[in-house]
Amino acid sequence: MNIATRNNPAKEIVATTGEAESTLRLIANLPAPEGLELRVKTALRSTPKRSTASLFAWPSSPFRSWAESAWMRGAAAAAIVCVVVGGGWRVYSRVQPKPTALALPHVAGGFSSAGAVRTPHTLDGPTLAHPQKDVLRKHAVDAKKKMPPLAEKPAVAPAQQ
Amino acid sequence: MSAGQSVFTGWMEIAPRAVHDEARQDVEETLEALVAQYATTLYRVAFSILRNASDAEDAVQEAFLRVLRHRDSLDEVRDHRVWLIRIVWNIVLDRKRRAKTRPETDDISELARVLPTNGLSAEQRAAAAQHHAHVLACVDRLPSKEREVMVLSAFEELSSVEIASVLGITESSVRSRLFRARNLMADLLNHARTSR
Repeated sequence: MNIATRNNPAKEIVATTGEAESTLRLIANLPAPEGLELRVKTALRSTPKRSTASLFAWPSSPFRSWAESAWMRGAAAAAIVCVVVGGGWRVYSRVQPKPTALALPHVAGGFSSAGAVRTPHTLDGPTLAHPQKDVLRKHAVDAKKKMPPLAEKPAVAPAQQ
Repeated sequence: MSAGQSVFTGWMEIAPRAVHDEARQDVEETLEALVAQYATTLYRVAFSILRNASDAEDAVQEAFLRVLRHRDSLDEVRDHRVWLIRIVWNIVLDRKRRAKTRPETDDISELARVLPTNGLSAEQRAAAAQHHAHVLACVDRLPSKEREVMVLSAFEELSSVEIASVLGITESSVRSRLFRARNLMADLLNHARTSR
């Protein structure tokens, strides 16, 4: 390194990196090995081509032309999506999930329910209706009338009493 | 054969190989033209990273096989050269990532084999190969971003815009990375020189 480059850091960098870049440039200009082109072309030819042939060919060529166009394929895909979504929506709209709680009917002008929800008594079984006392008495009177007169009570109570 | 029979025959027959023959022929011709035009450039790009002739050849072949797989999109490519370099660049970086670090001695022997003779004696060639291998070892010590820009900038046929396109960065990033790479490289080479 000479004095001029030592005093000027920019020149020093250029001088030092020059040899690195010359090495890289040497590699960047290397001749390709002979036969590279042939090798690649052979590899391309020997690669199995993606089969465009199908088992079932369209019978007529005009139909084939529009069936293979990108626009028609897109339209067909969109139609399939519409059918699937429509069918799903139809099923969903018919089969609605049962409500878990009954909402109170809204009374116009009345107090609001404040979000209260009435739940049905699902565990209540059949309950025994308690007869009223009047009905019981009536039944008792009727029964007494129908009964035959009983024998007189003994004057003396049994000894056990 | 009746009309109905002919229709069914059409449905059941395996389509002839002549389907899209013309289009396929065009694509094959385009591909062969690309190979003839850019195989050497791609080889150089691959060698600059892999530093092994057979590995570089494999990378070039793989790049064209990838092109063959995506031949339908060939018409959409604006600049085939940059597109191909980008493909081979990605392949090469992927291979380099997977491969173990090459010792400097491997580079020396490979460079001695590959470098043009230019009327040098065997000793001079060996010395030159050793010098180049040492420089390349310093290049390897650069951070990856700076190293990539420096390697690609050595290709005279690539402008800074094209380097930016290959690396997927902006042109100003290319310039700033190259500036950093040169400074770092100068430090590395000076350090190596003083430590000897």
